[in-house]
Amino acid sequence: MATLEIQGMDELNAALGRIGTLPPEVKTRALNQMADAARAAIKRSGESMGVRDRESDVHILDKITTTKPKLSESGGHQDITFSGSRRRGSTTTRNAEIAFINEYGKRGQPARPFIGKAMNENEERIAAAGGEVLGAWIENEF
Amino acid sequence: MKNVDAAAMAAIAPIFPECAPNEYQGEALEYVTWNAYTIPEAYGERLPAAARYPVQVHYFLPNGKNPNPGKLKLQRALFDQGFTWPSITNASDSEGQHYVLECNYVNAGGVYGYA
Repeated sequence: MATLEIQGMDELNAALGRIGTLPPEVKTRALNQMADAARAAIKRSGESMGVRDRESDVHILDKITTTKPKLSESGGHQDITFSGSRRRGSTTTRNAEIAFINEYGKRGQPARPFIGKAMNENEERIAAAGGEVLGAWIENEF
Repeated sequence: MKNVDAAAMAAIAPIFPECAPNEYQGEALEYVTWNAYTIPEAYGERLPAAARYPVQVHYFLPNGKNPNPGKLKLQRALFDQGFTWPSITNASDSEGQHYVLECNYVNAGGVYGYA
C-alpha cells in the first residue's frame, strides 16, 4: 500500500497538483493492466459458462483483444473487443456478433451472460490492477 | 422476501402468461424468459449476509409488432416486485424482435435465506 507523507498546506497543494498531472505513460500502464485483468476475467467466465463455437477451430475466447488506450484529461478509456470472424461456407460472422449472441441469447438459444458476469464478479480485481500502477507511481514520486 | 425466480414470475406472468425461467419451450411467438446468477454480498465472518442477482429478462415477439407497451409494462412490473429499474438492449435479428431487460434483485435474507 502506497503512503503519502506531506507537511503543511502548501506541500499538500503541491502534492495534489502533481497527482492531478498523472504522466500519460502511467495512465497508459494503468489502463493496460485493467484491460488485461478484464480480458482474463471474461475468458475465465466464458470458459466456465461453456461459451464455445463448436463448429470452429478458432475459439472466440482466444480472440479477446484490447484497443490502444485513449487518454483524456480525467483519465482515459480502452475498449475490449472480439476480433476476427468465422467463415462457414459462404457466410462470414464476426466474432463480436457471436459473443453478443452468447451474452444475450436468441430465440431457441438461452443467454450465457459471460461478459456481464465477469465484470460484476471482478470489478474490484480490475480496479485493483489499475490501482497497483497508480500506487507504485505515487510511492516513487513522493 | 421472495427468491429471484418467484419474484420474476410474480412480475411477468400476469402480463405475459407465456413465460418460463431460462428456456421457453412452448409454441407462442410472443413470450418472456429470464435468467439470473448469484453474487454473494455483505460479507461478515466469511459469510455473505445478502445475495445480489443480476437478471436478464428476454422479451421475444414477432417482427412488425409494437414492442413498446410490453417493454414498459415489464419494466414497471419488475420494479414493483423489487427489481432495480431495468435497462433495455435491443437484440433483435431477422427471426424476430428480442429485447433484453437487465436489472438486479437483492435478497438480504441471510446466507441461508436465498436459493
